[in-house]
Amino acid sequence: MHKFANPARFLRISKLITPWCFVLTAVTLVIGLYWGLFIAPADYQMGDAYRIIFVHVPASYMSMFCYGFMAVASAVGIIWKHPLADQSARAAAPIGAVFTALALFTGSLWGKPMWGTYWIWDARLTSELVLLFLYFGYMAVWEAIEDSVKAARVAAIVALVGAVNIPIIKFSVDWWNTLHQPASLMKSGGASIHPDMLWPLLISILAFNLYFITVVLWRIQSLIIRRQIRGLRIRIAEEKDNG
Amino acid sequence: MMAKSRAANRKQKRLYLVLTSMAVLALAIGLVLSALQDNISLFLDPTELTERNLPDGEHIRLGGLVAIDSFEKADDGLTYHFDITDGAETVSVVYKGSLPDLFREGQGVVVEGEVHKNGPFVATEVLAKHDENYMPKEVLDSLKKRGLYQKPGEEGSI
Amino acid sequence: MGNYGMFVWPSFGAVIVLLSVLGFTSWKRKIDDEKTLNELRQELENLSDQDE
Repeated sequence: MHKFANPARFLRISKLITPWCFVLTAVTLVIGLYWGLFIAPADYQMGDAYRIIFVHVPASYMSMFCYGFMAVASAVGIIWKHPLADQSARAAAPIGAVFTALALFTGSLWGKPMWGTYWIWDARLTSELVLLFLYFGYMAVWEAIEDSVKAARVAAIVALVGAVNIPIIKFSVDWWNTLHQPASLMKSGGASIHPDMLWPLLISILAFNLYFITVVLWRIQSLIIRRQIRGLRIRIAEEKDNG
Repeated sequence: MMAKSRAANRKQKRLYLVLTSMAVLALAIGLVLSALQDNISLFLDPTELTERNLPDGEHIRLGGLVAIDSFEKADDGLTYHFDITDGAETVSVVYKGSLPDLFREGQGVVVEGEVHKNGPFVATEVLAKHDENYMPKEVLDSLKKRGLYQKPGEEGSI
Repeated sequence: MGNYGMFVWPSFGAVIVLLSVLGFTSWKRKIDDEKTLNELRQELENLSDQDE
């Protein structure tokens, strides 16, 4: 009973929410990026190059958040066998892959002028690259396995096993010597960023969160509708046979 | 009623299965990572370098702070001499090439090159390490004026 | 932005372009799927009407 009632209700509610989420995403993204680019003061050491922080940190944070979301949804899917959970995880994967690619790309463009290199195989950069491949692997499972129940189970296991990488990314800068600096935002003793730079950063992070909510809802809606389409096609074929 | 409780039982079993497998996996990965500690760390600090007593010509990465008042530019304008310190040990470095924008005395760096026992470390690449502090220049100036500014890394870490 | 413009602008550009492309394709896919669903519902209704 829940199986059929919940996706329909989810569809109804999420259709009401998404337009608002979209508008909020656009507004906060414009404010956050404009503030970061043109209003926030330059850094005492890095000058204007530090402005990459306003896209790099939100993208990196969301690349991990998105995987966490996928892992939790996958666990729910395995334990409670709720189809919405599997579909939610599946919908989030491409978004996470895009966030990860952006984190790597913007980080590389930040590393060149500041560190002196686009890339180095330190623990932080390497584990973030592994994250990108985990997203690719997860998406490949869904594409490769035709039986959707089986695909959901294998994909969920990939998501859960890969989740071990998330704390490794987060704490890599504390556990090992890396070129990447330690955390500025989520650390004990409060953020080590001046408020004039912190505010646009927080707004930008909020914008990326809202973006995730908006796009993941669209994608889940799409996946639910596709299930309904498959069901309808079967019924139409039966109807035609009878007639 | 019976069927429902059996279903709930299965769910509970799956929950425990997921939790224990995650715990075992995390433990296994943790062990592997701690065994690979040396390989994962990007560089040695001056103390580790001194302790290891590596052979001449060994290619490694060395990391630490550029010692204050140690930076010198040679007459050719391309060769640089500086010391890398971690507070306890200090290693002299010679480097020919261009330096990253963040390179300065008191700042963290990672240099790649060859160890030489009777002479400076010969670096082929110098990378600057950024610290986790961000502030406008004016704020730094006022902090310095009031004597409140503490140079990053002075607490001993880089 | 000075010399750093060549690093800062492409970073922001890549973010805006990739997020827009992913957002637009996700939205478009949803709209197309909704359209297909409604067409199929209509078709099924027509078939049921013929039966009666």
